[in-house]
Amino acid sequence: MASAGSGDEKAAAAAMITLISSDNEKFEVTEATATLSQTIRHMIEDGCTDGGVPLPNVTSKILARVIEYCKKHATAAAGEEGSSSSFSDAAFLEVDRAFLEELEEFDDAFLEVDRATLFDLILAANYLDIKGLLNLTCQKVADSVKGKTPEQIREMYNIVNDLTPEEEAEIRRETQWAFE
Amino acid sequence: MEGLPRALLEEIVKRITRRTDLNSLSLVSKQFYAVESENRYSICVGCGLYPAKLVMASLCLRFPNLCKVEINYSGWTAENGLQLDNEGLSVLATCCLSLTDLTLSFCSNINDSGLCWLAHCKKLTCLKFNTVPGISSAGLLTVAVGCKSLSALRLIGLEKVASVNWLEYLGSKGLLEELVVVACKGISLYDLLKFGPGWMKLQKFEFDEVKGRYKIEQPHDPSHMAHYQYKYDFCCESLKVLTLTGIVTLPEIGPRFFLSNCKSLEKLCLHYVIGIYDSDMITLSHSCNNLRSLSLRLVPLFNGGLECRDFRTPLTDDSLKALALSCPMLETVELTFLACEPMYPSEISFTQNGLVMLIQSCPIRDLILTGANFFNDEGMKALACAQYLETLELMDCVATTDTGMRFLAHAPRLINLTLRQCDRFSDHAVIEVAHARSLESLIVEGCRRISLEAVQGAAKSVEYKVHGPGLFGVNRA
Repeated sequence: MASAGSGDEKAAAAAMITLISSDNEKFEVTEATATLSQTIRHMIEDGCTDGGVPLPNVTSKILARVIEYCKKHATAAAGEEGSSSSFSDAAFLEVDRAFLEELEEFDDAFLEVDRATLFDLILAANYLDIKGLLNLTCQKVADSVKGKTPEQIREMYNIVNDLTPEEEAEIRRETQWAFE
Repeated sequence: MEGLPRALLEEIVKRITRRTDLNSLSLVSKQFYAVESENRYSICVGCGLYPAKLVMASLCLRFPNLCKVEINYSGWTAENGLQLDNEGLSVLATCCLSLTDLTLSFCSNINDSGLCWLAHCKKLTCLKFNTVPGISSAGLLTVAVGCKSLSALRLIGLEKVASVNWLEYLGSKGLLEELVVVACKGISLYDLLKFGPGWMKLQKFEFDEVKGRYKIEQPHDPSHMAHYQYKYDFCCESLKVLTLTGIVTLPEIGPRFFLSNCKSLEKLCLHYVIGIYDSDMITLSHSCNNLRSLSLRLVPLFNGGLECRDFRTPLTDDSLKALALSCPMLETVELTFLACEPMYPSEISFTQNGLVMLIQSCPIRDLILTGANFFNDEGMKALACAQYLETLELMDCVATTDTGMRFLAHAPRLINLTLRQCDRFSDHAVIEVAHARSLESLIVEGCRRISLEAVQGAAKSVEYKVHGPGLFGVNRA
């Protein structure tokens, strides 16, 4: 990857793509930002992005957030490629570490959203096929049930309990047998 | 969450790792129960399994995609009810079609005839038997013949296994990638010769001959007998991980041949091996340029010097020098010295100069020193200049003090620090290092001059124990 000519990279950075949300709002982004989405990358490769990329499954509110994520992470990817050659340089190591920490802070702040938005982000990340974002958002939901009782989980996500008391007792018994 | 498509719900469930959380999830609703059940790939069952056969059947029904099953009866008493027997194992083998990985530990009701059922598990690749007294060579042969996809076999504490026809069979098939034999009385080092062509494909080998530990006997090597059909003339070109513990080898005899025949070796552990000399390590370092990880645990031995006073560990700086010169990828090093008296530092044949040379020549990322009496503050100074050092553990290193600890504040990449049973480090120096390096993890066990109050919050994760674990109590994941 790092061997790609710097001329090509500049050309790619200059190319702009228009993304159109379900409510017809237009977003201009660089190709480097857009191609974090595998779905859009394939569209670009197939040459069908002239006149903008319609994304009928993503609202402008969510698309704005997704673009915010992609911009940050596209810069991160470019930064990593640039610094890998001077790997042994201690000063660069410090920079790398600071940069990674900054990215982590960004991700944490990015996830400070209400539950409905979080689920919309998961759906969008899935539709646009952005692995990093899907991982980040699913992990956030997974972490939210840590240490919670079934009742707490139901309450948190407004889930109706449709298990009969008998079924519940049966499941509890099975859980006792298997441990880890 | 209910609004999410099933596939995405699964994505979330896959990321929940704690068993208790998954158990809670399965009780939330019917949909969650179903998703959780279908995404459960591994279970561990044991004493709670009663009535064993029935429960096993219902577990197989509930979790249709199980790949990894461990049946562990450690700590079982008669009050727990009858253990799972051969018939119970047949239920698992016939119902659980995706099974790839099975572990049986301390199962006293399973024997050779139960193992026949394992041939039903067409996908079974990894088998581990730990202390299953009913298993003998005959059972292992059924497994070898029946389980055609088997690529990893781990045998621990199988006392009844006497012959190795199963090993010969597996060797002739040449499909095994991992073989672990620990504390099996009936399998000797020389039996392993019969694995023959199997060595070509093997990637991971571990052998721990517990009975021979600390006992120097003249080994009788059958390959030296005239007309013996098995010889040490096979190559182990795929072998990447080799662990030998508590064995005795002599020139031209036994497993030392590994050290000159494994060109792909990446990880080597020699623990209390008697009969390994500098010349072996030099040969090894010349042939294994890909070595990434080395663990040496050494005890002092009588080397038959003047009046038998030459009592010291067998390897010297010549070994370290050879590694430093020929192993440019070496990044993980453990040096443990057992039963070496701090009063007599010369019992350890390595010196600080030798170790510093290794640290300066190889990209060491992970270093463990245990009982390294020769290692002092000057050595710590060298660690502070180690470009790649991320993880450092010092245990029973009596010659290092706060002065040396403070050097670590300058170690450029240090993020994990573990101190065990080191009484000369105090609060101030350790906290100074923790803050200067913004440590990810700090583990302190049994260091008298370091207090819990002082180190709490000094690193992202802090573990503290008043008492040290002792050399054999250390649990390194």
